[in-house]
Amino acid sequence: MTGDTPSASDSDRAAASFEELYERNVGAIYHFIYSKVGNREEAEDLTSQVFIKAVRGLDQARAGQSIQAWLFQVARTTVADHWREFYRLRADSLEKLLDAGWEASDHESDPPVPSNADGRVTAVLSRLPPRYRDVLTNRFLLNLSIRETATKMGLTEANVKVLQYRALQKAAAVDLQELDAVGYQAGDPHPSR
Amino acid sequence: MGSGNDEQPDSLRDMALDTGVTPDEGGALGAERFEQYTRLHEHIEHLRADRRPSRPEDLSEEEARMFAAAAAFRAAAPQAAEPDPAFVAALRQRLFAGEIPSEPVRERGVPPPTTAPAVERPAPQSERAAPEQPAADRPRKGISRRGLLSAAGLTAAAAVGLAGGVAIERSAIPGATTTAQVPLIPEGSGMWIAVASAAELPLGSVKQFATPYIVGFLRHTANGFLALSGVCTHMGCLLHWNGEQQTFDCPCHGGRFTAEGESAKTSPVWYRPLPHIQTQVADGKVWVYVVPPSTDEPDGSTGGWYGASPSTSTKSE
Repeated sequence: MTGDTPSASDSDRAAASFEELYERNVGAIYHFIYSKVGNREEAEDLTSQVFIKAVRGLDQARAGQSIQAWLFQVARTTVADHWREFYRLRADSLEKLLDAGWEASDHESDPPVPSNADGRVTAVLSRLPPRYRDVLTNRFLLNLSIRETATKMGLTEANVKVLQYRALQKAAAVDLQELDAVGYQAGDPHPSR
Repeated sequence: MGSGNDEQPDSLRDMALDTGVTPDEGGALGAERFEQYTRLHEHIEHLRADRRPSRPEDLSEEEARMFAAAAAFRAAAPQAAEPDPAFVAALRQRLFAGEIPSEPVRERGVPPPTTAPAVERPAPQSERAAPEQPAADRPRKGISRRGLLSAAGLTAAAAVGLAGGVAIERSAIPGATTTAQVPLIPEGSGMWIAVASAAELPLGSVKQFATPYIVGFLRHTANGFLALSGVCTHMGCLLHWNGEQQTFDCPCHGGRFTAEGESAKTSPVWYRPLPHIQTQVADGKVWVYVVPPSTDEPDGSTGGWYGASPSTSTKSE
């Protein structure tokens, strides 16, 4: 088809940059989405959706956003749609949930570096009472089963279920502003929120 | 309500004891609360298994926030939030090679119009084209997005078997027993890659193969060698060969394809057929024709993804 017109070469450039964008960002986008859904099946589905939307929308105006910021915006929108469906919340509740910023990722463009805990999680953990911190550490960061956690903490399995509930309840209520006040950066990869 | 039946009533009393919480927090212990414990627990277990959690009913806003917090905590488990290299490769294949199936091109031993000479002299090429072949060696004219998004472009891209490039680590695909050999001549935008020795594939056998940009299956049929994309045309999951049913099955949503790559009758939903990949036999090897998707050194930027074995997702970058 058209091979050499200026618009074609723009388009080629766009394609090249999109491929580069994919290589550079697929890890970070996946990480961001994973931190919102917490499981591989959904993370893979949603990551695919983000990049498919991106390849289709590449020509659209991005209003001065960097292409990467735009990509994360697409990811955020995709997560919001997913959450709306999953949690069936009213719009204002959903907005609150999104604004609570429950994401572990603070990576922007580099491939995620393996780490045992991301900033937000660490910061929240440090503000919890020791038993809550322990149960969440065992269950999530160490990925122990209920039984293993119970043994380790000297509790019954039923105790652990209650404890993990209350610990997450407390963790979910930790105020972001409060964290900011102690110097934690939210690390939101998308600039407009 | 309150029909949590996987716990005895005794456990309820247990729960109220010695959980290290202040008494007022424990005060509301009751049937409904118990149900909340249970469904949060089930949610957590889904996440730990990396499975899609079932959608909860009547979740309060507070619970939704707790579920979201659980996802964030889950993501902090070692390496949990890192993409599977096979997923990254499969998605790349979908994005840059298109999903629209090509016309089948699978004649045995019929080289594509422009690349026949390459097959005659693989040896010198293979020295040069090491796995980390610089992208600069490739023709600058890759698959443009413009081409990608037009039907004609998709056909062109898919007809040559999607995309491909250099050898993948043997370990990256557990079922693959052959390391793809180095590319031959990049002619146009594609190249031939040997993925199996003809001798190891008796009539009727099926073998999975992988290159960085394509994962596929090679079948030895009565009509010769048939190569198909190994990626489900639905959401991009990697297919498994089901020898008993003679189908390619998708673990994600149950999609099923026939041995010819058509959506099987037993598939829950009709999916687009699997793209066919050109094959030919030369030097006792079976070659597939693949197209590198990018001119901008995908190898350099992704080497780390493939250098890692599937069991460790540590990036080497």
